[in-house]
Amino acid sequence: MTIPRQTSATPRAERGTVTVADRTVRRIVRQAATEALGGAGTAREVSVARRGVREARVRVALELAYPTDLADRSERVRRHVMHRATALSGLDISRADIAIASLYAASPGTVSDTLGSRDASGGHGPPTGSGEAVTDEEVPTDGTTVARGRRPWSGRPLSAAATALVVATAAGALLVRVAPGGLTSSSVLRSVPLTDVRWIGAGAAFAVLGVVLVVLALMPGMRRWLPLVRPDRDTWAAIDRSSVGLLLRDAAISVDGVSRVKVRSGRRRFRVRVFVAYGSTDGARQAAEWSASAALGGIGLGRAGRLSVTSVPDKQWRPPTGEEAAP
Amino acid sequence: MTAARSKVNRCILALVGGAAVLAGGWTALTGLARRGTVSWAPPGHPGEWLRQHEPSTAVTMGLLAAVTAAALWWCLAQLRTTGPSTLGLPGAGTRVSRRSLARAIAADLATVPGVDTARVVLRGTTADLRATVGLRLATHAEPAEVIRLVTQGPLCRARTATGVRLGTDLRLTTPSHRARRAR
Repeated sequence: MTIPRQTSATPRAERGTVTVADRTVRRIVRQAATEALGGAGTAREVSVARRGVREARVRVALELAYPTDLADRSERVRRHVMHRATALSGLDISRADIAIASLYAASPGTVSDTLGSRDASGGHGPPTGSGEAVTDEEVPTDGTTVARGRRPWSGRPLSAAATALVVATAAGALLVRVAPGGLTSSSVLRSVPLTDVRWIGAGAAFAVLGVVLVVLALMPGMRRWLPLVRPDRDTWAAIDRSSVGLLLRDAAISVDGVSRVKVRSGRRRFRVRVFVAYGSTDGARQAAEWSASAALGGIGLGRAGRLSVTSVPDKQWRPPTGEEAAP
Repeated sequence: MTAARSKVNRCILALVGGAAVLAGGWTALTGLARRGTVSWAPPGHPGEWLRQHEPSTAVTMGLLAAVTAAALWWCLAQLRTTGPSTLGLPGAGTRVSRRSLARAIAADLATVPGVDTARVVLRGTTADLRATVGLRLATHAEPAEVIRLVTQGPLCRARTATGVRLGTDLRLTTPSHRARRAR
């Protein structure tokens, strides 16, 4: 009646305001993110930061199916969220930060199409430098170094931490003694009773320790690991030495007539000793050698180790009888 | 462990080791020479030399404090093995949780036939992301075949998914088990 006329007569700024609650924006954003993901993930947490009345920034934490092209999928979510949230809330969504908080295993059927999406979309160029890296590279033909595998080098974290701790303690102790009113650094050094046997012994021990440290610095370490043939340029592989021993043992024990096997796996040489319970020891040795070398081939060591197989009759060895030796 | 830190660690070990050899060797040899056990003594005495060139107490204390602080910092730096908890993805501004990515790759690896369990640690930043993968093989798996499957499957997928080179160290072990004799 009269009320609509009055409101229309008031100036625009005094007619009232439309307020969109943060909760509403969060719901819109969550909904938009879920739409963009299309079942390949969910939006877990959404936070909204208002900047003034008409502007907002949003942050979305996603849970995505893995494997998928993470950058591509999150970029799609970002664009969709900004578009939909701006349209539906009327706010200016100036920024949408996407974080992938967790990943879960996708069901096998969706793997190929989710990963193929990058090639199909084509709109986004591959990230810098990764285009060549991601393509399927077989073992490059340009060098044997790639295929052979380097020996893994230890980072020496423990020795470095221990050395740093000792140096810190020594320097700290000296600092306390040299503190004002205390000794000067030259007087500390000159006060050492050099002819004391204990000091001579300590000096010798210190020198030996120094040699150990230098050796640690120069040697590769990680003697436990044997390098394997590298499958491609970005991958290195190594196998535990005792695991090689176990594989050789399993190969040798499967031979007929072998009751026990002892394996010593060194870094360059593998010694297999088979104990024969019955039958020809030489035949068992040959069969075990064949079996072990096949197993060694299946490991694919970067530097083929030498394999030596010996056989000895076990305690209750029965010599080959006519019927057993016949085949 | 990044390659750079490994190099610094080895340099520190070599420097400290060399200094220890010189100082310990000098102390032992000078002491033995003064007792008359050996005839040759290393020349000079660092204490005497230092008295002639005595630095001021402030300089000495500053140096010692710096060495102490640097050594403590480096000792603590060894505890930081991985890096920040999230990784930026190349191209987009998206960040992904390092641990969930590592877990997802590990779960993918565990589906490969011949792999019993897999552990993945991601080190470094996006520019130089490296994965250390511990693979425990099933008892009768053939390592070369497992490596082929792992590289063509989960590792290839991880490289495509993240869009980085992902240098990978595979560490294979087989579980210790009793010998089973074919009968």
